[in-house]
Amino acid sequence: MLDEEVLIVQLKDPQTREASYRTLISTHKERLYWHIRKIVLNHEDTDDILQNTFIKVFKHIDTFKGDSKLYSWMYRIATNESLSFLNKKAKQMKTDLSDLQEQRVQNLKADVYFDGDEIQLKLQEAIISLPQKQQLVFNMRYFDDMKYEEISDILDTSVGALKASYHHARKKIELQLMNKE
Amino acid sequence: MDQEKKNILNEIKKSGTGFNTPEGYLESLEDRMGKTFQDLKNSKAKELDKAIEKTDDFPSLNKIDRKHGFSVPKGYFDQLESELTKSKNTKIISLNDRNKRLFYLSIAASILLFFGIQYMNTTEITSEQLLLQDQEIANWIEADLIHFDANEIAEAFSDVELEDPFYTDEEIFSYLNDIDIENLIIEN
Repeated sequence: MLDEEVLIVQLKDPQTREASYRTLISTHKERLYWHIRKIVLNHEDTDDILQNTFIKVFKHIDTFKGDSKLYSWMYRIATNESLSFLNKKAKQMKTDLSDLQEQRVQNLKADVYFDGDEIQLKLQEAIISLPQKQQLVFNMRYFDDMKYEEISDILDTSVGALKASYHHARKKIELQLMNKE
Repeated sequence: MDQEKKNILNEIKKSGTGFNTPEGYLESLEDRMGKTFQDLKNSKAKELDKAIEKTDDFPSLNKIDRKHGFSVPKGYFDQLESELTKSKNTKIISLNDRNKRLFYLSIAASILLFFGIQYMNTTEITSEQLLLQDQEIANWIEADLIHFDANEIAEAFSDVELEDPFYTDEEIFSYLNDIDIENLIIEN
């Protein structure tokens, strides 16, 4: 992987911006896609949000201060975009976030881009019943095996609080899965 | 007798309570408590780590393969890269979503237009009726019976230039960048 600092310099330089933007997309597209997808659940909305994320990164790379890693910054933008999208959708549909997510998870049964079996669907149902922050932590840790330090950078939460969040999330999910068995 | 008692109590008071502490006990209390807190913190952290690592407590979750089951259309990631670099400031509107909806909308509009023309040819429409129709449409919008998508509105008014936006891109981005996700969740 190209050194991040070099990439940032290249992104800020109009001469090298074009080529480095391509590198940036190809390096991060899949991880960001799957991060967003696990929050909003369907492909079409994920595609929209992923494009918005890259457009925002490209437009505002000059404001990136380098306090955190570039990918943490991008993850943060993607997370904000995804949560804003869900909140906006809920308001549009005059419903609350949990009802909206419940509805979206039910749509997975007919989604051609969801190949999961019954147990994976039950897992998704259990995940969306968690508080939003626990959903994020659970997805990042359980599916993506992200380190707590990385998650801490992205969600701006202490490692201890994240560990507790993950533990509670896992306990609640286990309980839900057992009840459904 | 009472005077005698008083004297004894005074004598006892002078000599103190009789209780004592190990040498330097109070002086070193802060240091020792600091260490205790640290040990407690470490053991709590260890306890939490152990609880997290302990997998026996999650038999149902452990049965599941750590796969989420989501998939993407064939060639999606390859296409995404080239499309995004082609137009960095414009979004690719998904064909199987927005355009399909616009396509159906345009068919519906054509049918309405066809019958509308038929109707206009046979009856004369009064300005009052037109006004009522406007009002009706306004009511629909207000009651959210017509869904407007930001992209559709933007496409319809693509020739309109916004001269003085309220916020600059930088301001919006700095807001997005600094916003606390936790607050966003609580607020909504």
